This record gives sequence, C-alpha cells and structure tokens, in this order.
Amino acid sequence: MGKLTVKEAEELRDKGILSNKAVVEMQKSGLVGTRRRGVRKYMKTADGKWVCPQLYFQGLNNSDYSKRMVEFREKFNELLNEYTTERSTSSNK
Amino acid sequence: MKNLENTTVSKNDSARLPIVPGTYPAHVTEFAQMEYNDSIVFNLTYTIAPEAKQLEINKMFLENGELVKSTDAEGKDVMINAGYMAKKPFKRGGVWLTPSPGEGEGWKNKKYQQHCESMGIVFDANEDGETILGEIEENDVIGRPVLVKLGQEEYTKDGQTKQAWKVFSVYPWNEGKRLSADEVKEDVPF
Repeated sequence: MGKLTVKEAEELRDKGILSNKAVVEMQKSGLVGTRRRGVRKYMKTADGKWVCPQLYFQGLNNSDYSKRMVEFREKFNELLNEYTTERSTSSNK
Repeated sequence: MKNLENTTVSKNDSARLPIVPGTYPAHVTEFAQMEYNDSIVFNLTYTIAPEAKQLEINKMFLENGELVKSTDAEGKDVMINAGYMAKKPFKRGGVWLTPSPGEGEGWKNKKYQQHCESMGIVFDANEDGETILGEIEENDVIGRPVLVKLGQEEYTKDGQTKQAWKVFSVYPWNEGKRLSADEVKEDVPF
C-alpha cells in the first residue's frame, strides 16, 4: 500500500478531515511519509544533457539521522542551490 | 441566428465536473466475496463521504480524453470545492485472504491484515504477539469510514487503451463516523 505524502496528510488535517494526532499516528505506523518532496534541481553534463544530483546514504535502512548527517545534508542543499537550476519537466531535451 | 455575446462556453467548461484523483473521505458501502482456489477474495465498494465538501481540489476538464488542470488568466491553478465528489462509488482490486496458509506463507495475508486494520477492525493477538486473523463479513465492514486514494488505471480492451477509476490505497479515517446499514442504503444515489 502506498503512503500518503506529508502534503496530502497536512491538507486533510488542515481541512478538518484528520486530527493532528491521527497524522502523527499514521506517520508512526508508516502510512504517511515523514519527509517532504523537494523541488528537483538540475545541472547539465558536458554534452548538454540535464541530470539531477542526489544525496543518498547507503545502508541507512531505518536508522535515524545523526547531527553530522543533518549538517552534511544542509551543506549539500546549499551546494545544490549554488550549482543547479529548477526545470519544469524532467526530460533531457 | 441571434448572437448571444455574453453567453460563451470555454474549453474549461466541462458539461460535468470530472472525477479528480486524490485522497478523499469515504465509507464502505458494498461487500462481495468469492472463493478462488483455497483463498477468499473480498471486493469492496467505497462511496465518497459528504465530508469531501471540506476539501479543495484542482478544477479540471477533459481534453482529448485527458484530464487537464484549469488555470486562471495568470496561469494559477483554479481550486474548487470537492463536494461534488460525494456519493460517487469506487471499487478497489480484490483483497485476498488465505486461511491456514502453509509454513512461511503468512505474508500472503499481510495486505488483508493492513486493509482490515485501515478500516478500524481490531484482531486479537496470541501469546507470541502474532495477530489472529478473522474472516470479515458484511456487517463487519459496511458503513466503516476510511480515506481512499483515487487514481486512474489503464487497461487494454479489444486493442484499445482505456482508463478506469479505482481505489489504489485505503487509509484509516479515525475521525470519520461509521454509518449504519440503513444509512448506507439511504445514501445509494440511484
């Protein structure tokens, strides 16, 4: 079963369909995601194709982020903002 | 013919507002079951609840069979009240229960367990903490409140690609009120 996104769950809460408590419980039981989907950022390869840099911690499984990992992610996001651009589609045209 | 200059129809004006994908409050309104090999397949129908009027959704229209978002003069999405979605019934793919599964095949009933628990059904547990499943019956599920995620499924028939609306996921709606069997019958739109 797919998860509800954070945005979907928050909309249902804001419109009075779900309580805050219900959203938290659904997050704990894995029915609602816990992270927001960011806007995709792109940069170009040497031959002009658009690519999307990703940060991935291999082996994380269900472990929590450490302070160092959060710091690393924040610096990665700063670099993303500096080097990339937003695009409306993900095609390589 | 007289021209009616102030009476226009744009492509945004569908004859009827189309179904819009999203997550809506609903109630279980129909129950059917059949046996297949050693399993039982449950087919439930969910009807969008009147509380859908609390939601705002994108106004959409159909263009060449495709759903397209309506936008205003500045290109911003037009949002409308989702109340018109209320009372529309939708089905989900069958939910399978395999009674007495073989050794190591308990996974076959995982989706059944999740689905029942999303409807608020509580199963007992044994001393080892394992869930003891039960076979749901009509009066266990009719009128139960849930949240349903609606989407379109593509399929091919007679060489043509067609689309059907379907419930893809069911989530708990703890704040929803369960309807009695009589209330469910009253709500049937035909």
